[in-house]
Amino acid sequence: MRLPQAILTRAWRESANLAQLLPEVRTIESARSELRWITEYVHEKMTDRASKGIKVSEGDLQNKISHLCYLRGQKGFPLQYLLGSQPFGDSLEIKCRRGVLIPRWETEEWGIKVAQAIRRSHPFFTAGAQEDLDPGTDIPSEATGHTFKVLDLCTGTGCLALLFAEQLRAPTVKSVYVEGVDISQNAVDLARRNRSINVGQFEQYGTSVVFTRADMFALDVASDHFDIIIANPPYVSEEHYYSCRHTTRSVRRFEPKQALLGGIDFYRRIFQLAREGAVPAVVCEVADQEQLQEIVDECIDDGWDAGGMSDSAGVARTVIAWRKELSAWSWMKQLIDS
Amino acid sequence: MRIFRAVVRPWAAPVRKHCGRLFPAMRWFNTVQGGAIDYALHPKLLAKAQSLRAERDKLSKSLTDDGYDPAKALEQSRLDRVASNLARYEQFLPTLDDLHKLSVSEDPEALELRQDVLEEIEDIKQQLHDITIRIKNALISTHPFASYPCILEFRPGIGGTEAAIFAKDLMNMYVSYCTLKKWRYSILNVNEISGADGITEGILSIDESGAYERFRFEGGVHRVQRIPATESKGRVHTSAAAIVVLPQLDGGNEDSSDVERSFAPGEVRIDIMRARGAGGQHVNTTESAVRLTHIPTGITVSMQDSRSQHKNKAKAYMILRARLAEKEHAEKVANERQSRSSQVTSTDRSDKVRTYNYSQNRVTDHRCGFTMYDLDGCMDGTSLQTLLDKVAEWAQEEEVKNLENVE
Ligand SMILES: C[S@@+](CC[C@H](N)C(=O)[O-])C[C@H]1O[C@@H](n2cnc3c(N)ncnc32)[C@H](O)[C@@H]1O
Repeated sequence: MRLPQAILTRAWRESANLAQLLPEVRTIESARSELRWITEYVHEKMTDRASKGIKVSEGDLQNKISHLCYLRGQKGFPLQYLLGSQPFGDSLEIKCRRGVLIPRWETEEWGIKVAQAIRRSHPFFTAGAQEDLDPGTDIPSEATGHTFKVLDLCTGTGCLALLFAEQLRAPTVKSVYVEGVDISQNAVDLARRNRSINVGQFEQYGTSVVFTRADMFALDVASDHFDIIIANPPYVSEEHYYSCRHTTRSVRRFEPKQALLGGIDFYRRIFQLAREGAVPAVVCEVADQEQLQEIVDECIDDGWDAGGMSDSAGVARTVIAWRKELSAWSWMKQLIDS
Repeated sequence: MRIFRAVVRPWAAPVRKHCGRLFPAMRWFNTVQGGAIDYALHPKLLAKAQSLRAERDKLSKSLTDDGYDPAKALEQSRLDRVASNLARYEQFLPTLDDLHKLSVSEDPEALELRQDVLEEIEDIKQQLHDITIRIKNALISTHPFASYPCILEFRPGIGGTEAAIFAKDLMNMYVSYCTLKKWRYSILNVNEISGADGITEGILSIDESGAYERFRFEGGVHRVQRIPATESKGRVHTSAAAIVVLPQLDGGNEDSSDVERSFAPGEVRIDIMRARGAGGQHVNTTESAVRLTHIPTGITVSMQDSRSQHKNKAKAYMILRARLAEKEHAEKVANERQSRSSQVTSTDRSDKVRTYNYSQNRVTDHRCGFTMYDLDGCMDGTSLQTLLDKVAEWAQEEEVKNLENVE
């Protein structure tokens, strides 16, 4: 869709950089925000360089800014690849690189909601406080373990695994363990880098994060005793991938197909892993209501309670499932859309 | 005035000169008080001071029982000031009565000392006067938000682009002030205008406890008179920008969702800008703007500062809470005022508070009438303190007047 001439003229009058951004960014307001982020990023980088004794002129600075605006607006590069990162959670910085999917706001949103709900409601976290006061208390059997274990399948940049590490803080004498798995070596390398950048956000709470390269269809977690599986598996259907109405050009052109194309097979496998490993809870991101329904119908058996949770844009975004017989997880129904 | 009797009388210390020798045997006389004398507290104020003294003892007990709370500690120190000055007041007043009696005595020994006694009376009146001022100042209740950090909001008023530029100049003034004071601050949001160095909105968070009290009277319309950078004919224009001062209630709150959860489900509507289409993996947009609407009051907060929607949402919730707290407080004050005498003036009025005149290098505060010929120093933060102090003094005097006018 072509931009109205009036908007372009307005942008030109304001600044050439703004006008450069418009074809991809579409609105003046967003273009202004992006220009500000780009400018801040370049200034930061240049200050960094200057502190290392490398000379930078005002001209270099301006050139760098307009080059980035060109790549962003005219070539459609995602801003996150150009700036190399995306803020995530309360204080994580997730590095982004070509070849690994960019973290989405929807993922951040449900990740925070779920992690915080676990921390507020799961006996592992809530019983901890009482136990400190009174060492003799009987804690529910599901919560007797001293390590809460999270498995993040299809971890990509590691954003979800690190988010859970940031948000879940174990009571004293207990700890949290998060394992992220991805088939792509690129992704695992980047996830490890992200762990080392953000380790300060969780290591003092005794939380550890491990990234493994593995194909989830060949994974065996039967004896690992995970407490929850979280995943944002590839869920874009072939049909939606090639439809401009669903998938934007920038996604198709710049993000890895392997991170996107997928669907029901992945969910079937995730729930199979949960059954094999006796994992009591599963939360996965989904494409829409239709996919959610398909998953509930085809992948989840009678032993589970399940439902969907929508995002702030009102789209069905997650499937949430927990084993019926376990009281430690029954609070999860509060997360389900009413 | 019988309570005075319990107080130990300070013979040696406050009443110097001959008093010790003069009245060793003198006993209590009933207090004589003229309503109009300016060294005596109005009976209403005296009663109030006495009730605050009683409250102090309760408060200090709750401080030791419930642990430290900055707001309570501030209140405690105010009540301490009331109590200690009240004690001195109660010590001096009977002394003055004694001196009065003595000054009219026809006793030959007293007649001989009359001159000294009269001087002594003047001296004590002066001391009493100072004490009553201190009591009155301490009687002004601490603002409920006084100990909090604050949020300053800047918006252009009349004057188009020039007003937007001035709004930004004003925001920079407070930023410079904070930098000089080494106060922590962060700019929560800035909406810049096209083609000039101005803003349509700026939100500055000043993360120092007590910042609310410091900037409390900065709210209102600030007027600027200068030749705008955009003016080709070199004429002086008058434009304006408005400042809103809000309490920051969530300073240092580490759990981002606590604020969000302090609202009932359905109380706040969240709108994600341009959230159309499939979303999720299908789109890698940087759209992170968020708008909150508080349904019961209709207050809306938009935030687009950060690349993280989560952070924008957290900031928006913080601002929403601050606006609601300020609104609630303003309503409470308005109600109280209505039920009080009409003579009570308001220090929270939101009309024109100050003029910045560039060609005269002058800043005038219209409430206290103070003018400072150091505009540059004001705008770069170095002499803003002088202005803040003058306004604070004025506000204090105003409130003392109000105390006396209360029915
Ligand atoms: C949609 S991305 C999600 C990345 C990250 N969790 C996020 O939310 O941003 C899906 C990821 O799954 C990985 N993946 C695809 N097939 C896989 C498989 N069979 N086993 C494990 N990971 C796989 C891709 O490499 C990609 O990083």
